[in-house]
Amino acid sequence: MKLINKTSKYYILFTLPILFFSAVFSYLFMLHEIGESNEALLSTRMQVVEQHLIENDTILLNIFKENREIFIKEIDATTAVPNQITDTLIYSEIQQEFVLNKMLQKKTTIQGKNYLVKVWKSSMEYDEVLEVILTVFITILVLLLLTILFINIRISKLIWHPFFETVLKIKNFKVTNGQHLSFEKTSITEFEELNKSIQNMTEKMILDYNNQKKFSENASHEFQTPLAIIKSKIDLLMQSSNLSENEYNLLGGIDDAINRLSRINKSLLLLSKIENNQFEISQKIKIKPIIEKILLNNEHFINEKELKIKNIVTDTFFIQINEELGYVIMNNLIQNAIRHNKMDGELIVFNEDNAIIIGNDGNEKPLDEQLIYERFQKISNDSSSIGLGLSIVKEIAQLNAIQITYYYENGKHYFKLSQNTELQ
Amino acid sequence: MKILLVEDEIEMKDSILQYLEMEKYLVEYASDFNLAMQKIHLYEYDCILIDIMIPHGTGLDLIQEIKKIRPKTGIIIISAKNSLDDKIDGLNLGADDYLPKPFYLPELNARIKALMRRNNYEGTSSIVFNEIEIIPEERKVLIHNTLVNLTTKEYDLLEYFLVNKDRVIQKNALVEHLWGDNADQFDNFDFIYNHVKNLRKKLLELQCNDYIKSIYGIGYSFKTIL
Repeated sequence: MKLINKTSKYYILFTLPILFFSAVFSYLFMLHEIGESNEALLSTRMQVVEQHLIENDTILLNIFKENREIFIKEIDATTAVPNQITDTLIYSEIQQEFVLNKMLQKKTTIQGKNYLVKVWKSSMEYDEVLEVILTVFITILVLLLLTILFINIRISKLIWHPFFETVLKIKNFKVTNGQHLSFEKTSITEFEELNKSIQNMTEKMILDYNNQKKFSENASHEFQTPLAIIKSKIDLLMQSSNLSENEYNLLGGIDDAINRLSRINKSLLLLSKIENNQFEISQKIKIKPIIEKILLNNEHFINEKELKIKNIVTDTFFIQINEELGYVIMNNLIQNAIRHNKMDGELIVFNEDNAIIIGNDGNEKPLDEQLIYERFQKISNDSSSIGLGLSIVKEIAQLNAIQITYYYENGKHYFKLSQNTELQ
Repeated sequence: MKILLVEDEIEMKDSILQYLEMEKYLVEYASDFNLAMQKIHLYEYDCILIDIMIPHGTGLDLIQEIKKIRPKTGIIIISAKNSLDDKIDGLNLGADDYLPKPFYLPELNARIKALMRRNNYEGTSSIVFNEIEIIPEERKVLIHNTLVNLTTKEYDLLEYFLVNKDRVIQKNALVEHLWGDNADQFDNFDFIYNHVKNLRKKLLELQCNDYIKSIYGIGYSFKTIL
């Protein structure tokens, strides 16, 4: 829910009961006030009638009577009449119904005669009062809501402006391009604080990212250097004369181990680079030329095993990926398909609408999909495998929104890379 | 031929120096940026080997400086920083080759020789040894002036052997030379044996001496003294 809707909702939620209680209070208060003013009016009228009786102004009294506004009756001095105001229903000929009236009755003595005088006045009806109150308050409510809405829109435009700017900048922030965020100055303390915190945070992020990047590169450097030294010493040792077969073999063994260490190091560096998102620019890469290049590079290994190659990827098939990584992912999968193939086996690469599939003969037993992407998980006892190839494939796939699936069908192992993209 | 080695690791420097001196190069050495700057301003070298990460500066800046004052000098980057960016930057700045550490010393030697040939050092572009003549520009091999029909890999092998005469060369080094990074995932080096076997056969057929000797199954050596 948008902030503006949320605040409006709460404004309305809190305003409604207040308005309701004000309405009830006003209603009661008005009833009370109207009652009091009616009573005051009746006493005044009573005084006027009494005055007329004293002056014996029968004409005026008759007019009153004719208007059905008073009632005068001579009574005995003994009749007791309580001096009181009562509510009573009187038939109104105009409205043709019984109408609630306030009536004041009084026994008055004028020039020795006793009168019972009743004066009344139709009191305003409750539903009329209610109507007025409702009208007034609904008007207030509507006006209030409109005002709230208006204020909120203005506020969100004016006050929230720096906030939305900040949000936009955070959305576009990328730690990989190393660009620091800078915010416009704002007069609102809270936002200024927010911007400062975000600025500090992103600067720290960029710093950490760069440190990590440097660390993985430096680590590789630091590992490779001693390896290079050992390797060079072996080379030199081998040039000395009079080495025995055993000594040559020992040196060869050391060299093999160094090569493996160096390969693991390179792969780990690649993995950390992928994880750190250091490969950025991804573009539509045509896959067929890449596969052809890989097959050419590995021609020798293919011929060794006398593999039958079927490359039926369509010319237009592409994947959205960084070019270097596109090569690595295809290379790792194809080299796997060559390495784990059997003599005279088949290697097939084909594509569907948005998926590329690499299939190969090999061990006649499906692989455990749970384990194959694990680092240093070796499927074969082939010593040349360092157990990182498929982990790298998986990492690259994840980075580029590619789904990788493995399946085993008719004695063939298949790896399928599918990229769910509308770009195809 | 005069070579300058810019390398801060003493042990690494010692190894390279020792190997290159066996090849009769005149090698000088600088352990940091400032010393390297002094040297390149004072002397002229045919080839400079540069490590990217050196104290007091970077090898990349050094390359720029060399290209400015002595544009004809051959430059080979030898770096442990196996990052593509550095490789591209280095080559763009004018380095001629990039050799990531760790490398085999015969490989370094082969790169230096190849670079010198390309720069037309000593005015000749062919490699001649007794009855063998290699014309690298055309990738042609003549034995007793007769053309031998070699495959790409066999040619590469022979050239590698010839520039590393009398050295023991490991099979791993041959694999790396022939297939580069692609060999990474494979460890079955029997095919090297096949290539060498075929190469020897072709050379022997033309009455070439049998210079290529196997060293106890771990490698080969091109023996000049039979």
